[in-house]
Amino acid sequence: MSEAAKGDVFSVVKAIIIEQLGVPEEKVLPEANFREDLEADSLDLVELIMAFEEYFEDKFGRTVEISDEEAQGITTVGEAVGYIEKRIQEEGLA
Amino acid sequence: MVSIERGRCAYCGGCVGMCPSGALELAETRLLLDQELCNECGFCVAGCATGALAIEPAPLVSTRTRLRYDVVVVGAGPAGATAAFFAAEQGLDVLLMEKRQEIGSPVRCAEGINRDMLLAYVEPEERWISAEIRRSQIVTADTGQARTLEGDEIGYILERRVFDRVLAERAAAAGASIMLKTSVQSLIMEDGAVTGLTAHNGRTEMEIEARLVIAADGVESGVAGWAGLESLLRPSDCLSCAQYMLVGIEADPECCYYYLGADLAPGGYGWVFPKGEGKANVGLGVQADLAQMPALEYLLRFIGQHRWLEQGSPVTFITGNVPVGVAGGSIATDGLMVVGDAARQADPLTGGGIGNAMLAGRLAAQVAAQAIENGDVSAATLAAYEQRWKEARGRKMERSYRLKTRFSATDRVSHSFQRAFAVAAVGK
Repeated sequence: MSEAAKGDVFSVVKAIIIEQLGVPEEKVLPEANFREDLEADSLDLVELIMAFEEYFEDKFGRTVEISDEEAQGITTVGEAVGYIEKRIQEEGLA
Repeated sequence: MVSIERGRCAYCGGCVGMCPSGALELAETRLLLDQELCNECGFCVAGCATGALAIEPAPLVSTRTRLRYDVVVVGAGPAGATAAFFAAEQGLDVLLMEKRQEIGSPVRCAEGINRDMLLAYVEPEERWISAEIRRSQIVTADTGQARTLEGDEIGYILERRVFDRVLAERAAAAGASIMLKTSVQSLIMEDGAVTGLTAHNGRTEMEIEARLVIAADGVESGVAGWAGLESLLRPSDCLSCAQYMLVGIEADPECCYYYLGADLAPGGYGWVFPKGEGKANVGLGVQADLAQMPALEYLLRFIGQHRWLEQGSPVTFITGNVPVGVAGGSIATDGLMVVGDAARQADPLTGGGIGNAMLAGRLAAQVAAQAIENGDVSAATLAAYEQRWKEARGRKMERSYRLKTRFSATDRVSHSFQRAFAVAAVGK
């Protein structure tokens, strides 16, 4: 994971969402709700979480593991970004 | 000398009961004749209801018949029967053709379907619903770890023997003709376009003209390939499956069980789908390119490792391939559309295919009606079917395929895969 990516979790999350859900850039706002605004279903969310976990894996193989329970609490793009930022700090991901 | 025409034999055993010398025997689904015991009395010929037996010199029974329909649907599974129903409902003259003598049997299927996908086409009826599913359990074989997902009315386990028949009855009620035990022999092509087919029903060779052919002839589809469409199934996109229906199983009657494990079922999974009254479809599928032995051997091992399954008794056994890829090429060409397993429309992650098959059948019928009305059944016009299919399911199919290929056989026990599989299996 590069320093730049760590510094701007939102851009990364946004890019992954655009690629995976095929939604236009202007719709991916921090307050956008995954299900309602971005029309993602459960499997989309699972795949997104997988992509986040994969992207934010550091050189030691540690990552921002997101459990099922935690995943259920994430409903908006902003919440996903906030959660990932928190995990990066907590884990001290390199 | 008495001869048996296999294609006409219905394995009813009627002749066996009439034979005074014990020369006939019904073994499995094959009638055996011991010529040495046979005294050529001809009782069996008189008693055969289908004309499968004859005393030589055999009379020439083959006659040629010419027929004509707007749409000929090959294969009376959920895809074909749904296509025939919607096509007939729109006033088209439809023939639904089934190679077996009984629609819905034997059915090579675990019989699970997501609730919403079913409700889009038919109202559930008790006679073809074996079980209502409210929970799923994903078990990781290596660790024994189980994860249960609850939900309200997640789906159903069907009794496809009845379900498939009901779909065919619906097609017939809408005006479609049905032919049983009729196999397509070849396509009739003119300038590269499909204009009909030849078929055989054991008595008659038929040349059937069709403005459009819909191929719903299953995973082993020959029709698509004959028309020049890419139809080869790659071993990595093929789930080789075996399944028993076991009776006397103590399982949660509202729960579907899925078993994952790199040794248990490489590239696939084992399943226990309840069928009510202590019955269950207990099966297993392995990705063909990863299998070290036949699917049946994996299944027997799986059952042997689980006491609650081992105590059941088998009453049916089936094997078959489930396509778990996405169509390599086009699924429509001049005069022909391909639907269901033949078009590789089962979900690549779970192998579930009934709902998608019915959707494709309806879409194909809609496009057929329009094409015939406009007198244009060219590939360009029929491409609308493929386009509508992709609009409806393309992204989901691609996503399932992406998820399937993303995890190697050993990664399929990972938390991430389980999570994806669980969500896909439950269909929420």
